[in-house]
Order: sequence, then C-alpha cells, then structure tokens
Amino acid sequence: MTPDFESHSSDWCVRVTVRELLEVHLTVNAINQKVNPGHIVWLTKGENGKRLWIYRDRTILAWVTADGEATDPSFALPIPELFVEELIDFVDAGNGVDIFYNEVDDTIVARSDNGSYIAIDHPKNVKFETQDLPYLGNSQSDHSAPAVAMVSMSNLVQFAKFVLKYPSGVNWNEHHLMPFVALAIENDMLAWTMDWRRQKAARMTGAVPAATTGSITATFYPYHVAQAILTKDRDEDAKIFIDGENAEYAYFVGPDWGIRMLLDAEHLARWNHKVVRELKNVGIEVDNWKSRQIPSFMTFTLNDSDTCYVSLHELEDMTVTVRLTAVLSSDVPETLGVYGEINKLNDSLVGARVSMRDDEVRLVVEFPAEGITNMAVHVHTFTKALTKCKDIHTFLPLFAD
Amino acid sequence: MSHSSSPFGDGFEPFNPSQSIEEIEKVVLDLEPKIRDLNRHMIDVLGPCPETENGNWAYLARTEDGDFVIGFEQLSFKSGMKLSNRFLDIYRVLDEVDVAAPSSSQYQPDLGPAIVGDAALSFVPATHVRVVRK
Repeated sequence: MTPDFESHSSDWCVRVTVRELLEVHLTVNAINQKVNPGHIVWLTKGENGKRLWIYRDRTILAWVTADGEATDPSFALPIPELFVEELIDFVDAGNGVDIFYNEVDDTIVARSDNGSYIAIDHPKNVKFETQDLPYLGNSQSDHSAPAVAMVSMSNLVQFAKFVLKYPSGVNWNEHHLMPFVALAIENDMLAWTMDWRRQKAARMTGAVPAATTGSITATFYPYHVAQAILTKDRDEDAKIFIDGENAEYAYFVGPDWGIRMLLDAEHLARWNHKVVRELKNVGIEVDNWKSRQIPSFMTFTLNDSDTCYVSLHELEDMTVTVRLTAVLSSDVPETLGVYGEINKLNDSLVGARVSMRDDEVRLVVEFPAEGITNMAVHVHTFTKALTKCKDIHTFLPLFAD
Repeated sequence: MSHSSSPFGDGFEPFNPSQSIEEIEKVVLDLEPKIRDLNRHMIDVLGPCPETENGNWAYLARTEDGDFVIGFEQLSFKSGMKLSNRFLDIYRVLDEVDVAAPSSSQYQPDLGPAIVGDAALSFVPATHVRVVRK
C-alpha cells in the first residue's frame, strides 16, 4: 500500500523555490561540522513577512532570507538537514516544491509539481531557542563603540580565500587547532592576519578597501565563515558589524544572507578546556560561566570559602601561562610599610608570589600552560602559600602608615 | 474641505507606496526598521497600543510636501487615560531608581537590528510541534 501523503495534511503549506533551497543547502554544507546527525534547519517568518531559514552549529549561525508568502506560518518549523539536501535532487529545475506537515504520520512532506512526494519524520524534542535568533543584542553593551565595514563581496571573497590557504607540511596531529584570524576594521580598510607561527610557518596579512565606521580588532575561528562566504553571490556589498570591544559576535550580512560568528581568543580555545579538565582531576570544579565565549578567567573555591581565580595569558612570544590567583586583601594603601611586609612574605614563599595591584594584595602561582599535567603540584603550591598568607588581611593594614 | 485620516489633522497623510521606486527603497531600507524599533521600544515600555491589531503605536506617514514623518495612532479617551496612568507609573519607577535620562548626544542606539534587517527577529517564534489528535 502506498502512503497517503495528502490526508490529514496541515492547513498551512510553504511554497519553496529552487533558488532558496540551493542557497540554504550551500550555506548548511559550508558550515556543517558533521558532529550531530540530528542537525536541523529552522524555517520561519521574519520581519516584513520575509521567509527566514536559520542554521546553527556550535559557534556559528547562518541565515538565508527569501520572499515569503502571506500564508507562510509564523512558527519555527524544524526541518532535518538531510531533508534539505534531498529536496535539492527532488525538485524539478525551475520549479518549486510545497512543504507541509502530515498530522497523522507526524512527517514533514514535500510535494513536487509533477506529483512526486518525499517525507521525513518530524524532529522530536527540538525547540527554537533564543540562541537561534539571528541577531542577539548584547545587554551588557552600551553600543558606544560599534564598528561597521561595508565591503564589496569580491573583496570579502579575497578574505575568505586567504583564510582557506593552509601552509603545506603541517603536522595536524600535533597542531589540531588551526589559527584564529585577527580581523581589523579601521580607517576605511578591512584587514586580517593569519598567524601560522605556531605551525612553524609565517604570519600573513591582507587588507581590502572598505567603508568603515568606528574601529576594532577581533579574533575568531574563521574557516566556516570563509566557506560560507564563498557560496554567496559576488556582485553585491556585505556589511561586517562588531558591537564594540565586549561584543560576543561578529556579523557578516549580505542582501539575503547573514552569518553570526562567536568571537573568541585562540589561546583560550587551545587551553581552557584542558585547564578545566586538569583542575577537575585534582578535585577542583570551576564555576560555570554564562557567556558562550570562552572566558579569560574562571572562579573556583578552596577551603570552602576562599574564592580563587584561574586565568590564561598569552605572552608576546606566543607562550601561554596559567595563573592561579587569590585576592588576599583589598583597600590596601600603597605605603613602604605594606611593600616591606609583602617582600618579607615573598621571601618565605616557594613557587608563589604576593604582589600589589591597584589596591589589592594578590597571591599568584603562574606556570607554562604545558605544565597543567602537573596540576596537583601547582595547586599544592598555591594552597600551601594561601595558608601561609591567611592572616595578611588582618596585619597588613597595620603597616599602612 | 479635505479630510485627513492622520491624527495630526490636515497636512499629514498615510504613506502611499505607489510612488517612485526610490522612495519605496528609502522606506524599506531606512525608515521601516526605525519605525519597527520605535514600536518595539514603545510596546516594551507602554504595552501594546489598544487601538491597533498588532499593538503598534507608530506608523510611517508623509506630509503634503513629501517629507516622511512618524505618525502616532489616535486614542480613545479611555485608552488615553490608561496611557496617562502608565506614564505616571514609569515616572515613579524612574524617580525611584534615580535614572537620569541620557541626553541625545549620549544616546547610542543598537545598530545591530538595522544591519541585520529582515532577520532581526524581535521575538522567539514558537516551535512547530506534533499535533496530537484526540
């Protein structure tokens, strides 16, 4: 018995063109990181009645807009990525395809103009979340230093091709994380640098003319953005938007497409998860962080009450250090007496140092990131020094004058 | 005597899109997002306008001189009194937290929605889920 696709069909139906399907398919293909077989594309209605296809994969989100129809539903329909791929082969050249829902079979159905059908199970346990919105305003930002670059697509393609040129002979087993790009918007130029020195190659920098507002430099993992840009038409302009130094995302926006990319630092991406893992191995859980960005520092608690910090720092020679910090005392005035006591403390400490920063006295243990495999030793040094400095907040003010 | 549908009386007319292509482009690309932002902010603060189906307070209008302006919906007396009370509530909140209204030179709007354009959704759409038939 052949299935009855039309019975119990939904009261809505979306007419999709070949062109928009192709745009969606190419975009999804460019950024799909093949880590989740259940990937879905969201189809919904945007502002001004535009149809909106949205695809998110870890740190990147991309969207495609198309002309919608008044009958387009306003909810977000989850369409399996596999179905989109299948539709490309299914739809007749030059024609469109109707997409609707079969309420009995719980399937999403596509009907071509020649009377053919394909159907796929409606995804289960999926929900359109705030993170799936293409634009996420930053509530922490006062929008006081936005940077915008208007750049021709032909020039943006130069950026994309540049990013995707890898030096030959790199041992990727040794260097599993490829370089992040540093993107700069300033003085009517869009510039970028790929730093391959860690892979024993050279730094490479490119720049193209752009109409810019504001200035900024931001870093991010660029490869999926570059691949997505290469799928776009090259006869229009695109905008790049980064909302100030504390922005979470960079936006690349064309006439009928857009990409949202999480901004992160390469050294944090390389080391943060390893530091968290090694701390966990010695019984220390770092506190959760709210941002999607990899944090530059995290907090943890020692002795049930002492709030401590772990942070990663990249030096000019590209070495990365891990720093364990505890604030011993605050509101401490800078006097010779205070510095004398700090020096005395430092003389008695091994592998740790006490220093003054602003009006705080801090205890720090710092070591090269490669040393995280000896985390137990470093934490022991830190806790031992912390015990030794425990009463500093009571006696240090005595030396204030 | 001519009659205008604008709440501002003579001299204002609702925008008629059957003008030149350039004007339509200007509205779509530049002014519409601003009106949308304005409505979003007004609805956030004042709630939806009780006189319109979509809750919008402002709309795009045009003077006889051809200038684009922002028009505001007419309110019934009852709705106007409610709005007046709402303003009083807002004043009390602002007074309590001692918030100084930023001067126009300090105010920095978020450029993001205008740049992202049609994709800048102002709400999270409901997810389509399976229809359970009883």
